[in-house]
Amino acid sequence: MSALILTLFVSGGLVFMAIIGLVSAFSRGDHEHGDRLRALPLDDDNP
Amino acid sequence: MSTPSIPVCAHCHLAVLPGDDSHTEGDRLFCCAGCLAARRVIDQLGLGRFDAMGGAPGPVAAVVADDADLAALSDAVGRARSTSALTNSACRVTVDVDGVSCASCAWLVEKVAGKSAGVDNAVLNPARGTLELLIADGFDPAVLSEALSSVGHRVRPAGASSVALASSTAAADDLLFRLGISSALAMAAMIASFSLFLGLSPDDRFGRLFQGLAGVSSLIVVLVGGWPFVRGAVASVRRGAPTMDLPIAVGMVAAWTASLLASREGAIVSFDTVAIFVTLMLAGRLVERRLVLRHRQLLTRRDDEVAGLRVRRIDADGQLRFVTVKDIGIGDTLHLARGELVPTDATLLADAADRAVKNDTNEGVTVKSDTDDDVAANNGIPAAGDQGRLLSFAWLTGESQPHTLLPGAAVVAGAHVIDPRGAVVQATSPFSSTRLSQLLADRGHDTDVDRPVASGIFPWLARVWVVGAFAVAGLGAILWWNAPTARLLEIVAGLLVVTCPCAFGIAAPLAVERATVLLRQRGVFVRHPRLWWRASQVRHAIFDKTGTLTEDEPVVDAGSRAGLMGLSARAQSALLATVARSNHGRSRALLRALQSMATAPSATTVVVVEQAGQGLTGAVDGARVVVGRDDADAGLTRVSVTIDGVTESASVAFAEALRPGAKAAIARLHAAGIDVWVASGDSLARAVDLAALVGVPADHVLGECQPDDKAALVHRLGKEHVLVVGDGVNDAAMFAVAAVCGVPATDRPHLPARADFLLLGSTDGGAFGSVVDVVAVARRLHQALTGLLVVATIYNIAVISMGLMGLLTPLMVALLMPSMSVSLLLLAFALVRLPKPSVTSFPSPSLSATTEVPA
Repeated sequence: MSALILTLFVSGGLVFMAIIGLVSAFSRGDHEHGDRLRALPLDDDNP
Repeated sequence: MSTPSIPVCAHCHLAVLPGDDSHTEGDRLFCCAGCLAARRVIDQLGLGRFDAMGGAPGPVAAVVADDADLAALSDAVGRARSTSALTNSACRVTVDVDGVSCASCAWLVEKVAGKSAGVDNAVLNPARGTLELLIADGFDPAVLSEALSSVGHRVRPAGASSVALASSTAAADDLLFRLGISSALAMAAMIASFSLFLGLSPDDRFGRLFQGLAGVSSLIVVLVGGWPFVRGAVASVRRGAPTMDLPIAVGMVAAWTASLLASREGAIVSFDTVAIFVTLMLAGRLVERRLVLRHRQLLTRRDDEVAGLRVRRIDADGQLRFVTVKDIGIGDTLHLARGELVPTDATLLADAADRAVKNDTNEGVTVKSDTDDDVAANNGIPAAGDQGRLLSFAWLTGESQPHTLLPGAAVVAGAHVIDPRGAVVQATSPFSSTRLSQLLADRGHDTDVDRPVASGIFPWLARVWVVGAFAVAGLGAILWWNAPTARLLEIVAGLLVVTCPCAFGIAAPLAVERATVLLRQRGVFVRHPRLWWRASQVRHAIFDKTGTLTEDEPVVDAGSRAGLMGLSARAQSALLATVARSNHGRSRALLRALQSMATAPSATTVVVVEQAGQGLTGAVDGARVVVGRDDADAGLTRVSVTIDGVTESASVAFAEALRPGAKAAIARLHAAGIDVWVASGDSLARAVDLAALVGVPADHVLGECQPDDKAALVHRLGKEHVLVVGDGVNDAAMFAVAAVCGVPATDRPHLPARADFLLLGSTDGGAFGSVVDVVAVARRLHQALTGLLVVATIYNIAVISMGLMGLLTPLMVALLMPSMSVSLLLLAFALVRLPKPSVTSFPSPSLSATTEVPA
């Protein structure tokens, strides 16, 4: 049980940090990193 | 030549301290409450025939808890008290109790412990040999230990046989604590770095914060988790023999420093990778520690061995005292019980116990009837009081026949008393100047015991690796000298991380662990890790005969069984009733043979007199039975039964019983291309006969071997290629020089202390047949480690090339390093496996011929 909670906690942290990193890159116009966001349905303006 | 008269216990025949009459009943004296209670039960239930069946199983061996055990026990009690104070619960302590072998032991231990001061309740688990105590304030482990020692049971700390073991456990606990902190912080560093890998700028406000968090977390990981490696590296450099700790310690410190410099230049850095690297290394080290701990459990008490044995000395004042073997001086009188070792060269004395036999109602082995003495007289059975004592030199010389010695005879150290009456001897030399002491002299310090994977080529590899890693990092710095400083440092840090020796930090200890588990499944206990480096080189195997290839007791020869079957049913029955009352090896063999012929005892009146070295004389329901040496051939035993004036007789030959699995073991060794020899202290003829049974040709048999002859054979065959299996002290010289030594698990615990492996489960033959697996698994392990080395080298060449070309990003380093470690770990498990018992699957000896011989 504790292993499951730990896994969820760590992966949650990683996802959260990944989003921060990608959003930051995209907003800076860093397309090498930021373009990865296009794969995610986060950006309605760019179909 | 005689001794002061020592009274003996009416039940177990152990000498009673003079003046100690606290346990008496009528005119009978007992050594302890247990014996008194047991005798009362026997008397009350009318079980007088208990004596006719051989009496009590003999005195219990001398047991005294040593100071180390008592100190550890006190610690355990202290911990239990503080736990109970914290939790406000009853204080419970669990201790190990040695020698609980029957229901009466269990009953006695519980009663004695329960009555010990400060013990509220005592519950024994006979299966595990543990005693759970509910203790109150007045409890003192020394008092409990004393009480249980007096009835022949030794108390030890639960689950740990010595303080050394406790300290190893503490070391493993310390590693676990460090691993816990490192894992948590490594994950924190990984989470903090993740946004940077995916695009967050290191110059960003959050970027700097996250980078700082990762840096601090990984610094703590390096300090806490890396400390054992730094300490190990410093120690190994001081010894002048660098281990893999050195490249690990240097690599992690250098990688963290390079990451710090890179972060100051605004580069994306590898703090999290360093933290994960240290954590993985620490996990590997913990596995290795656990492995060492298990070896230690089997290695305990290797230092005291025979020299730490305690024996009963009869002092000038007539007092009986326990002394250690090294404290025995010339002229000391020792009282030895059946089964005990004669610890120094000595002279056999006329024993006070003999007088006890004559004067007392409590006979020794001279068994009288439950009817009356007149029967004996009427049947012309000689009077008791034989002064000879039966001693076995099997352990010392490999000679399978026991000897009867008369008072005044010299006894060499290393003989075992097998006479049920025990023996009293006078020491003629101190232990240190005996041949036994020389034979058992330590083989030297086994410094590699703490590092199962630190032997062989590893010290060399460690040196090369450090130089190589720095050379590669330096090359990267030269190639990228003109790049921005941040980029340059990123590349150098990445190169330092990927060149760290993950493969051997984690996969190698796990491979060794797996090999150990595999052998255990086959009944082979690996005691010493040096086995792994030596067994893969084995090309010759030498077996001792007596007690190794053969069982300790003889069996009736197949041809002689027909002679026994030719006796009439009544004669067979009388013979069985007679031999059933003797503990002599040949009597027991006759008993087993008669029982297997479905002979049933039907006698009601039995009188048997045994004279050591002379044989048995019995009167069974009017039949007169004589079992003794055959006058025509001293090697045979003559049995004759006279019923109503008609005498039937048969000559019985005895053969040594082959240990189950011995033949299979040797066949498998031959099939594996290993040359098998038999070296015995027994006569050449007997050795050759037995060798033929297991398929060893006569030109590979040595008889009448002195210990040095066996050692010479090992040298002649090339000691680094020789595996020996033996059990006697006459094998000790051979053990001292051979590459790998094994013993069948027996009841003589002195030689196992210097063996590399133990063969268990000898009764079903399973383990003995597994000798070949020791070599096979060791070769597999050697191959697996070589395979890991090859894969790791290829991986390193690939990633170093990428790093030098600047293609290695911090994210790639972070993913590659742990995934590579896990892959190698899986590979190690896949490669180390048991070979199938068929011949073809066995790895060829030539494969290991090219590998390096361990230093």
